[in-house]
Amino acid sequence: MDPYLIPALDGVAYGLLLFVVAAGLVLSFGVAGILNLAHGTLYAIGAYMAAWLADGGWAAVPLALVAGVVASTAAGTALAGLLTPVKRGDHLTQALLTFGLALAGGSLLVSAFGPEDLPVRVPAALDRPIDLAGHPYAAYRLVFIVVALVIAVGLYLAVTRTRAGMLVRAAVDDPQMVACLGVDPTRVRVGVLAVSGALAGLAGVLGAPIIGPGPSTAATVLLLSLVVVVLGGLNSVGGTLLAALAVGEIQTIGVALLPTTAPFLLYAAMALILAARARGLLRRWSTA
Amino acid sequence: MADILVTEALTRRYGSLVAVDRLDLRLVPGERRAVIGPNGAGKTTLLDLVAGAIRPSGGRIRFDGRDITGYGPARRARLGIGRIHQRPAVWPSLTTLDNVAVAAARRRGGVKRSRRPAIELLDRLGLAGHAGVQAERLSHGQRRQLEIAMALAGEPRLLLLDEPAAGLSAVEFERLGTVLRDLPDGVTVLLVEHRLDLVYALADVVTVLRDGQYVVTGTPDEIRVSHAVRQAYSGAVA
Amino acid sequence: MEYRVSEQSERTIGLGSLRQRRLVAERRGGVKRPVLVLAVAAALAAAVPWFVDDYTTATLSRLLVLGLVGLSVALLTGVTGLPTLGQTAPFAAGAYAAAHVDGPARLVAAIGIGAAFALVAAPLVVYARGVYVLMITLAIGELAITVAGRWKSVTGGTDGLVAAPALDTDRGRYLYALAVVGVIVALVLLALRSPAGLLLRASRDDEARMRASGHPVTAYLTGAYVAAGGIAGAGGALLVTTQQYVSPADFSFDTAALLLLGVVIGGAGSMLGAVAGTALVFAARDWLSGLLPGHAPLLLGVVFVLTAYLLPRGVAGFDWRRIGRRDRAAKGVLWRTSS
Repeated sequence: MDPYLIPALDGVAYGLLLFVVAAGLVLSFGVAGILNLAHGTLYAIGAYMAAWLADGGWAAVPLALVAGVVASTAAGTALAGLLTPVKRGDHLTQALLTFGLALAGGSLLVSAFGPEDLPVRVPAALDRPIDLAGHPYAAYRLVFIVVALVIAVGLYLAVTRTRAGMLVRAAVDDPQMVACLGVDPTRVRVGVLAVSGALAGLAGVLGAPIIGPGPSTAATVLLLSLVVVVLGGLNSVGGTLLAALAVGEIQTIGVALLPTTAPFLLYAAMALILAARARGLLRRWSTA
Repeated sequence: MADILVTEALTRRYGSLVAVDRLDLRLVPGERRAVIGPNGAGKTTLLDLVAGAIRPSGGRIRFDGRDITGYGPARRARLGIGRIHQRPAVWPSLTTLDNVAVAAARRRGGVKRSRRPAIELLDRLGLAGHAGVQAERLSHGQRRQLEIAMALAGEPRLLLLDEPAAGLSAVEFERLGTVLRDLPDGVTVLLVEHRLDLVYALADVVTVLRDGQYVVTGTPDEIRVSHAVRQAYSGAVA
Repeated sequence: MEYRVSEQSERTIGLGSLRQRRLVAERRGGVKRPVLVLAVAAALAAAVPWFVDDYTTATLSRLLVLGLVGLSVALLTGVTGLPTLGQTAPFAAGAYAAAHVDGPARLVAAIGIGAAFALVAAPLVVYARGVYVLMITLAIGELAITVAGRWKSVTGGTDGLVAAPALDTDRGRYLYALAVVGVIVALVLLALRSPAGLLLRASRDDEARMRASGHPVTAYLTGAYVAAGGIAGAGGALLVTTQQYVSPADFSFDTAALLLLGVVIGGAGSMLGAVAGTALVFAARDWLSGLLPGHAPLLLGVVFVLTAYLLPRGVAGFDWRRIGRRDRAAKGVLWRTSS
């Protein structure tokens, strides 16, 4: 059978994980105009919770989920509070502030959990290979793919079918409109960063067996989700999903196909896509 | 004499909203054309399209016989299309003098060579005393006049003016009128303006738009009494 | 650059005594003060090695190098309006190039490679707006580290490269670095006082208005980006000369973030401030690492946070919060495509 089936599936899992994480970034950036460089740290909080609380049994799963999501949501809310004095659109200050918080937060996590990459114990029933068209494949990853798809569909429905989702899309299109609607910008910021934190934490708990907790986790996750946001744009859930899957596949199949050049692959792909967009811009200029 | 500006079925859509709808315009060189109409008539969009700030969804634009539909704003500016914006666009961290000098630079072969003509322009607009002041310290009316100086600095053949009188004091308004009246004869003006006293004082021809569509064109006197224009402004269902 | 406009009267001969106002712009201020400051600072700095030990001299050399890279960050962030987290990339390119070249050609090669790198990367950067420049340059910087770590044949991978020593003493290396940095800073200051500086600042303030006046803004941005790449490349050559060793660890994301912080603290619009601010930040980081080993990131993080809250105008008074807003209606959108 196709020797690349396994990496391809891994790519789907990786991509879906990045999608959930990036969705939080798109939300905070697109709606509240906040560049949150601590987003990776929020993921790391969820991942560390999973590593800490998961003991191989099923009871630990909901516990880890709740603990991780609550912790990251709380962190996101605290972030929103700390960003209060920063003016909307002042991305440089946001970058400095959130980067500082990411540094501090990362240091605290390492102090609490140690400087090593931590293993995550998946429920025993899932911690075994399943036969997939002749290849053994980790059961957890299959389950993860299903769960992540459910989350993705849920996000899509939330954005397109609910009133809150409509406000979100409208705010992404026209930030001034949010203020005109009489919506309190502070509540928007807190709400957005809380949800964004929740998404990151959820991804962290569920995705810990894929991208596990360690001192470089926050940076890796942040960088990858930034790439997804840049490639996928802010305008559609579908765009973000496609970009996330693309990045996921590049990181997995790319490594399998071209092991020596794999690290360049992501950035080369990004360069190509951006260059194509730029040339598109040359033909279709317009101003904001 | 060949038309200096021609638009053919010029259209601009935003999703399902048609901001400018298959507009045909012809301006002859030296003409002073005003475009008026109620809010949402597409007047500023029209200027954006002619200036090249946005791309049309359909139709063509010709300037001096040349099809400029695909040209970017910088290229159109170098051909001689100048504009001022609804909200005065100046460079806040540069001095008033340098604002005009930089605006003239492409035309005059560099910033250094542009400083002398820049002072003269500033003087005509009454801003010479502020030459050394950073533009961010100017009042709204002064910024408006600065932008006019900047637009004139490029020696435009077609001048696009977007509500140049908005926010001006009586004195500044007078000066604006004088400057516009004293423009060289060859310069064509396309003016979007709400203040009808400026329109009647300055324009040879007035075009009325509504909801992106062409309504009527005539001399200021004809427009003043036109039934169609009153309908356009009153919002009566056609 | 200030101009004072004064009146000079002229009599016209012939038709009576008509006085005509002739306005003259006289340049005020000029270059005297910054040059004086620069000269005094350089003289003081040159005397330092005779008063401190070799280790301190070597440390100061490294701070000078980072200050030079910080200058390139300030040129892009403050003057051109392209906030960057990616100058570590041309810095690295220049450094690795310099490691393969000996003698006086080292500096030239590094500047050339740094500029060439920037030329290739420019299309990715100059079409982006505001915060997307941060993201894209961040990715470019990360790419540089990844390449540096993997391209063993050229960079020695994570082990790094040892370079041939060029000068014998720490003092000699320091003075060389000081000379190079001083010359480059002076050149940049001169360039910024010229029309080029005006064009960049105007493009930063309002790009649409620049285009409406016929200026090819993208070309200007590209030129600035390439120049910044060359300056960072020069920093790379100095790194190799002062350290005789280069490895990917010199170009981490932390370095890029600290460079940005240093530039912000020094006042992004001020070149001298940027060099000083960058040197200060890296010195503080070294000091903090020594003070509380293992907790340096925490303290550093606090410094970032405090700077964000307390220094809206930096030390040199430039309001860097305006950075990245390329025009009056900047919305932080990547590329606005007509819908």
